[in-house]
Amino acid sequence: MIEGPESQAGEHNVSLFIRLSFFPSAYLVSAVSRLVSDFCQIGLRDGDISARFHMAAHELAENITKYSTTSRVSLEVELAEKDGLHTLSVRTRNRTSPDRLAEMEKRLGELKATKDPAALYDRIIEESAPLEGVSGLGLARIRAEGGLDFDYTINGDELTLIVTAPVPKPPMLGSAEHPAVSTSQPPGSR
Amino acid sequence: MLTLSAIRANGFALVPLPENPIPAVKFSGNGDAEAVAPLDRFLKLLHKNLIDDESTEVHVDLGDLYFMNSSCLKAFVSWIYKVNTTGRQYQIHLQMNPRQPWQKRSLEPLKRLAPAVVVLEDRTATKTDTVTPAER
Repeated sequence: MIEGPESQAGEHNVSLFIRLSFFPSAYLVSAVSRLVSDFCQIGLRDGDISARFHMAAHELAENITKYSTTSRVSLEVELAEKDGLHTLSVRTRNRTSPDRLAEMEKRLGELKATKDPAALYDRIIEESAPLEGVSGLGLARIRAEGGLDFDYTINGDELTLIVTAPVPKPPMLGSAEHPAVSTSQPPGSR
Repeated sequence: MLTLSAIRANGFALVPLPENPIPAVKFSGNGDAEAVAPLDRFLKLLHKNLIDDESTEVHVDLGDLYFMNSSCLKAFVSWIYKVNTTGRQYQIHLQMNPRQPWQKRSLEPLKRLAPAVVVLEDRTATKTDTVTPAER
């Protein structure tokens, strides 16, 4: 299910918004991340930002697919402006186990607090190197390699992760060179 | 001489390049969850081949790899760690596509993990260089 920008209201101006709700299947991860990349490219015309958010969306989508305890997860991408500053963000929501929530809270706390994400990522890589069948690099990769800021909330058994980055002012939507994104919903969608 | 078999599956390929005078393999396509287990097995077999042949270097062509997830990166980490900590080292040349800037960002931590083992270099451009999803 895909929802358009008219479904969101807030204090900031939203230029583009897309929400995907889907069954957490590994087969959908690549498709979801490519959609995010295309969305970024349409909104920003910036290959570097698109590549970073493609990576982040892929890692986050794999995360929620792997650890969700229910049949529905969601991923949102938003390009917004507030006080002249433009921000691109990806937000995921999923329900997961108490053990996983505790583990995530510990990792995310470290990622949020670190002043040197690259050094933290290098340390995590070194620690995981001798271990078979263990990765655990995805979230640190988003922070270090993507240069994206992390935030999260835990509400009961639901984890919401948000990664954001400031972006340049996007090209104008609605011009002949940059047609507006359609907000109509497909037949049968909610 | 490499005795590996090529792996071609949904969206990715792992292929030895026997025509190269130096041991070389190519990893192309989309390095997502489906590629992780085959990549891990391939790199383990590759390592055994290289040790048995007493090779001093191997080239890994990543020019047509348009994404690699962190689990695939971990497979490379495990391989590099093994090479760096066993008695017989060889150099691993990771050949990147300069049109895919994510590759340098993703592979530099591997270089930092084992600077004496990992060499990052640009692959010579070809007509078939793959574009990133962002460039499509």
